[in-house]
Amino acid sequence: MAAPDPAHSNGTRGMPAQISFREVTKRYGKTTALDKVSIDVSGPGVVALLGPNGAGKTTFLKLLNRLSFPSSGEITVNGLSIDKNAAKVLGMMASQVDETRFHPYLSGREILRFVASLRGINGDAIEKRIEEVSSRTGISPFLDNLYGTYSSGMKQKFANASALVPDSPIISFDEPTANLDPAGVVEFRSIIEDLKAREKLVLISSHILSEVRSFGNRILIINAGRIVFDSSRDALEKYLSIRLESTPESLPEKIKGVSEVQANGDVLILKPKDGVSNSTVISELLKSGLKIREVSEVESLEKAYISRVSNEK
Amino acid sequence: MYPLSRRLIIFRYFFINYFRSRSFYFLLFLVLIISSLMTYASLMYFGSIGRYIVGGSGVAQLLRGNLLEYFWGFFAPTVGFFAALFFGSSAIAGELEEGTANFTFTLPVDRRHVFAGKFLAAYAGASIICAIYYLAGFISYLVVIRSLPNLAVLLSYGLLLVFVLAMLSVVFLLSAVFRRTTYVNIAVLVLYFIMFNSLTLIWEILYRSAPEFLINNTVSVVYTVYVGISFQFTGLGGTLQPSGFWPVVHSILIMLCYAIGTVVPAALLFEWRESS
Repeated sequence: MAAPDPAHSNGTRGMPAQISFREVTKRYGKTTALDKVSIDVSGPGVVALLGPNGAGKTTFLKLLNRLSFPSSGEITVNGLSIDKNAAKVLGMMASQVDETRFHPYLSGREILRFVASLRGINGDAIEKRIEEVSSRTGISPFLDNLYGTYSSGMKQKFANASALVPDSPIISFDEPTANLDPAGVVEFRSIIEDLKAREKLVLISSHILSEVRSFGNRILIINAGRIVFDSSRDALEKYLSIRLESTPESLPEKIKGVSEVQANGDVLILKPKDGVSNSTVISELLKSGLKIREVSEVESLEKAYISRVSNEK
Repeated sequence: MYPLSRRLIIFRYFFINYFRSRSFYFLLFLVLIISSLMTYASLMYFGSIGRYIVGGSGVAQLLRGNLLEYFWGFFAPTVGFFAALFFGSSAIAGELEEGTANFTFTLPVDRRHVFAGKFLAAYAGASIICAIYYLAGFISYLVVIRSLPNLAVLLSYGLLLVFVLAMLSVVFLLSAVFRRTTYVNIAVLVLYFIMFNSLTLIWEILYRSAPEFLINNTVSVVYTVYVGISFQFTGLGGTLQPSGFWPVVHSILIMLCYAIGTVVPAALLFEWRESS
């Protein structure tokens, strides 16, 4: 997808996008949705927010997009306080948050025209931009129908597309693949790759681990209103993936220096104990008579997720 | 981009949405039904109504015209009230209820511009509905009286627009308070028809006059600009003379007080409203 004419830029092109949450707390009555969250997120890249339902992911994005207001703390975007410079900050961002819905008696094209014109895109450039985005996101076939007639999958695709129209430096998506069919999910992944290549700061919330792994340069796990894991700060646990020459008939009961063993056909996933090197583990395996074909190191997001989420419960 | 251009873009967007909505067509249908009934009544029974009011058969042409306009004007506030209710009740509560707030609140403009654009769109929609009613009244007048109505009809329409402005502001305020359109509708109906009328009745019993500070009484100026007859719970009052300059100004000021007194808090509430 080609970038729009620089004349329509909102003045932030070339600047590295920077979002800061400082001691941000959000309460809904007695429920604390976000609890003293302090974090800096800077672009370009994709930041994935991962967490169970009700963990605070949507609240995080709502606060960022001024759909909610913090009970305490401050949020800044590129150094500007979101409360004091709301319109300016919102002009730097585009979002699809918490099942964004549009006005039902307008066609998709009319809605996108409205979005584009409020972002300062004018004249022929509006239609050009709409064509680019709609053909890229697959909404062209129903773009001229009234929004109220869309199916839930169409609505999801359209919401994702609407966030792309402004070509903002910061884009946030909340469960962007929730109602998409498999082809739509693949299409959306390639759009994210596009955005990465164009050096945008993209925030995506999801509770699908595989999706987060494929999207995210940086992964934040949120649980009970707190960021309990940040891949830029906390290392993911390392595992050894060993492919054997053939599927072993039996495995040794204990492998020295290894705390966990998982076997799946001819592949063994091993967790070395603290301080034990990979080469020590490999030599132990060789000693036990196993023939190794390939060794690689893997990180376990699943493990990190389960441990962080269950620890917090 | 200038604030005015932003407001016009927002106005256009919401106006088209209102214009194509079921509410608009329902209201249009309602106004056409009311207008048809009024036209039928004007053609069939107008003479009898005239005789009943003046207590005789020799009604002068001018007075007949005024009485016909009064007859149409008497129902105009009801049309204006429902137009304001239909267009205003979903303006803010509907955004929260339908999830469109997640789009509207993230627009890169100050929320006061969004509010102004929405308000203007709703006001334009309500004004069109009222204009259709007045147009039907105008045609009916031409057919029955066989001459053009006097200029008081323009004054009456202008006063109705002020009333719509005031009512729309009240409805917007309640729409900013509640999260569901149904609650807004119930609250407005209870406020206008039950609370205001109860207060009016109590006031009339205590002071033998209608409380002019209540908008449901003030709005009578829309039809008393033709003939000064007013209906009260405690009886029929007034004269065949139309309302003078000062009662009209007084009514406008009261309605503007309602408009300003409610639209400002509505805008402030909208500014700090959170999506559901």
